Amino acid sequence: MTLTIETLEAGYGAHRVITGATAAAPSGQLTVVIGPNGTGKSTFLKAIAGLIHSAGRVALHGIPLPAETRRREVAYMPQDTGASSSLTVLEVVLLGRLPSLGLSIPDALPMEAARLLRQFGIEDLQHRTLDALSGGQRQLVFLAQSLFREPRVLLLDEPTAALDLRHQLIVLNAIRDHARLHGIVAIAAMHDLALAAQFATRMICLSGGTVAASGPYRQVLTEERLRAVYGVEAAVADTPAGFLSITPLRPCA
Amino acid sequence: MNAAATDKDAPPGASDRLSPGGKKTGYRALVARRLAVLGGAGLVLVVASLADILIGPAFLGVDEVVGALLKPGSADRTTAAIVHIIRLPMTCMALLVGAALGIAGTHMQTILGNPLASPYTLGFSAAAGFGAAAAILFGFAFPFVADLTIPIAAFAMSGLAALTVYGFSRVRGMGADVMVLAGIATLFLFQSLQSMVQYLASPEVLQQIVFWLFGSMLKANWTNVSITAVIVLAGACALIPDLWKLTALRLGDDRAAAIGVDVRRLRIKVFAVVALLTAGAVSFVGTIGFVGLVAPHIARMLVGEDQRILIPMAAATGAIILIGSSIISKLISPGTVVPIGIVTAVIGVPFLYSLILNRSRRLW
Amino acid sequence: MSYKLVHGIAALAIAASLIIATKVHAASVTDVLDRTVDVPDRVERALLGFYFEDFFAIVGPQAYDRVVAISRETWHGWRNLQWKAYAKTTPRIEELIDIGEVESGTFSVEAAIAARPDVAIIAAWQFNMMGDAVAKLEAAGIPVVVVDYNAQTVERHVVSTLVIGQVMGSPDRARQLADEYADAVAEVERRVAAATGPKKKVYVELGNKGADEPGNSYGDIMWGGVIATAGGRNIASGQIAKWGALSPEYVLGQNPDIILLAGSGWANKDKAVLMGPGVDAALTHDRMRPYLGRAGWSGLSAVKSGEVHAIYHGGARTLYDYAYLQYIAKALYPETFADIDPQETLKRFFSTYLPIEADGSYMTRLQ
Repeated sequence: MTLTIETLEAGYGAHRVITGATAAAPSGQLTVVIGPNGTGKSTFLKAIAGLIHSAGRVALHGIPLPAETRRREVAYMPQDTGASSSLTVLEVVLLGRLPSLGLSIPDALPMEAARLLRQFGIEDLQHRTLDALSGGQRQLVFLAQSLFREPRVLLLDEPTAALDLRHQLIVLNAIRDHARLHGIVAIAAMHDLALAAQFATRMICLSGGTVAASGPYRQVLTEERLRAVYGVEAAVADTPAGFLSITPLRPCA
Repeated sequence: MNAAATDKDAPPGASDRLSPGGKKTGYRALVARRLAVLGGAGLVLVVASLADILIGPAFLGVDEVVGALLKPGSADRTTAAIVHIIRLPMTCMALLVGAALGIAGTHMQTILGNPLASPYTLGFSAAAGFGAAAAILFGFAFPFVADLTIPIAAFAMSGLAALTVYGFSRVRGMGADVMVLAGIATLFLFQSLQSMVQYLASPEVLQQIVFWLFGSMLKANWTNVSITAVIVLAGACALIPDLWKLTALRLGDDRAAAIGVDVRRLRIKVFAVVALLTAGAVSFVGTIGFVGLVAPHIARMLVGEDQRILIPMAAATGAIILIGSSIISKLISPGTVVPIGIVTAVIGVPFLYSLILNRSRRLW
Repeated sequence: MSYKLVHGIAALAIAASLIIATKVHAASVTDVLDRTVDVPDRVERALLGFYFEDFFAIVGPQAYDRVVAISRETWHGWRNLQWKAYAKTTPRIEELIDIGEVESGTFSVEAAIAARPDVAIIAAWQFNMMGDAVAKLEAAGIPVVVVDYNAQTVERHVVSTLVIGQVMGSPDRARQLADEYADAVAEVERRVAAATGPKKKVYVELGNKGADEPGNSYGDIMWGGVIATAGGRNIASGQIAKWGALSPEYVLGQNPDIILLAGSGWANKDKAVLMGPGVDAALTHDRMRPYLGRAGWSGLSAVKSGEVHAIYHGGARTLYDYAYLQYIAKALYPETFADIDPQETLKRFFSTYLPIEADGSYMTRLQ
């Protein structure tokens, strides 16, 4: 099952940020969207999620998804602003299925939510309030919230931006494993290229409102690409263990 | 993949041990506990209301009051008059106004995303005060409903303020920040207009205006209690379908939108309800402060952020605070009545300070 | 006559007398605001909001035996010297229930109802400020009668007097007082109308703040109205609507011919112009003198011709305020009113109608 995006256009008001993006993301693996700040990664993801007006075609497994359907089937996890509240972890996850919540909640729902938390190993935290969690734990909670509605496509906006190294790895592992296990399409926008290279199977590189390159990550993450899109001289090389290493050198003249 | 099992960041002894198959009881037990607290608040409210009816300058005995309540026909005429025409409406009004302010305050804090927000933040009460002051100054009276002139004027100005804030917020995208700015500007506008009216007023008129602004339950009668009841009920029920969306809004605009909440529409709807509740609470009894700010925080400390329980709890807390203040104001000087707005301020200010100093429990 | 006929007539007579007796249970009164109120035939427990002295005058020295509640502050606080004087002759007033004061917001409807009055007599300004408290009193079975001497009109003075007389069962005394009042005012008006020559300019100021601060003057109400009736030109008329302080410069520019300082028995004010029961005229003069030292005042016509007077502020809005009207008219037209002695008028009123004597400082000219 592949998510295909064709000539996507989106923006705010008269200002078009994405002027024509075409890309694809298969299910069961993590696709990472890269590109310099301000290039429209968030706008790109929000447009796919149907949260902002867009033109163009988005299809899943060949079947086109209008904005209405996208809002249901696609889960979008915004960047973490650090804003907190006294909501408990379980309540946050339950909110993932907002339409099913009424004055009373079906008994099954809290059980399912707890099960999901167990998958991420944070079931013990379910009655803790958000502010009592570490950054990594918060992100796992919000990840659980996004996945609670059982979306077919999961979009993540900088899921590891404010985390320390250890939690970056934990969160990305959780995302990749969940995608593989449940066969969903997972797309994450990231600015840490080395980390992206570790976890991504495919990459989409945005530049100037369009897709500069899209495909297996080794094809996208090249020295010419970094020069052209980021304006940066970098050394991209294979390590003996088989990983891709990216060493930034200096900004281009 | 058991990520956090090896997560050394988990605080020691952090796990809430759950019995096998007991995941359900964990959450249900939490909700049941919260509902029990809500029930307790309801009980306190009933007791406080009874106490309020029993206390007053006429020093009636408990048996006289209870007799007048249960068997009004056979009670002494004067006692019955005092209980049914003076005390009962006052208690009912305190209950309704306290509930309205508690609910409106909670919603205001939610849609503005600010713990210091209150029903008065956006200028609704300053406008009502201006309307009442102008009505008192110019001494006009509407035909057919002369007694309701001041409340109508107050309500109308409150509505005008709401429209002003709505208009300006809409132009700039209806976000929380914009609303606060527009609200503060509107608040200052109507406060200056109020000052101008006070300046123009002769000493006796000025005194009347100041008294109205202080707030007092003494103006309660069955007519305005009924009108207030309708308003409070309408305002409370209007948002029942949106309670979970409001809970979601506590996570921030972006996350709420991502979960599927139409944030803009929700904010507009809640804004309208808050305006209605505040105008209703203020137009008959004047601007009673602090209840709308303090009640939501107390309620949140006791029952958490789940709006299904928080809203009724804030209503109960607001009502308890106001009825408690009414009792205190009657006890302080039995012969006369201290304006209730002064009592709520005296209680509210130290509480605010303690809120700021208290770091042990998460309040927001 | 047949036996049956006599019995028949007797039965008829008894029935008729019973009907008449039951009908004389409540009387209908039309008060000063044209409200028709049913009051009990014999009032034993009145609630009185204001106009305490006039009440004495109309109902007689035992008046307060039939009063149970008053707005104490408006008497004890606003006219403290007067209160003390009456407390000596009628100690009962100390025991009356206090219902609070409407203007300062301390009025308690509950206390009023708990006092179980059979009628409430209140001033028009109290009625206006009480709002729906009036409805609550009526709902509790207490008829509310409104009177008004503050309007300072002959019509309202007369109606108010007759109404109180009717309610309290002394209609003849009330009629006498009302007639005296109307006649005295009419007499002054007649003489003023006949007088020729330009009207003299009058400046009236409330003497509660002492010479250092300008006190309130009055537009067309209160002393302003009295001055107009007395045939004087109130320099504050047209400048102020009801009351307020005139700018000192304006007063100098107008150069009034007569200056009236309204004095009273204010407590804790050592610069105020003190007047009232038990006050010595010499003290009043001492308090008046500093006013002459105000900037520019030594050049005013009134000061140069010695026409600086003090009048008791509590004297306006009463049944005997025609004495003050006479005093002011006499200052304005000395020859026309040569045969009238306002001090005597006042003394006579007090000794005829009130339980205290008019000894104190009520109207005096600075010498």
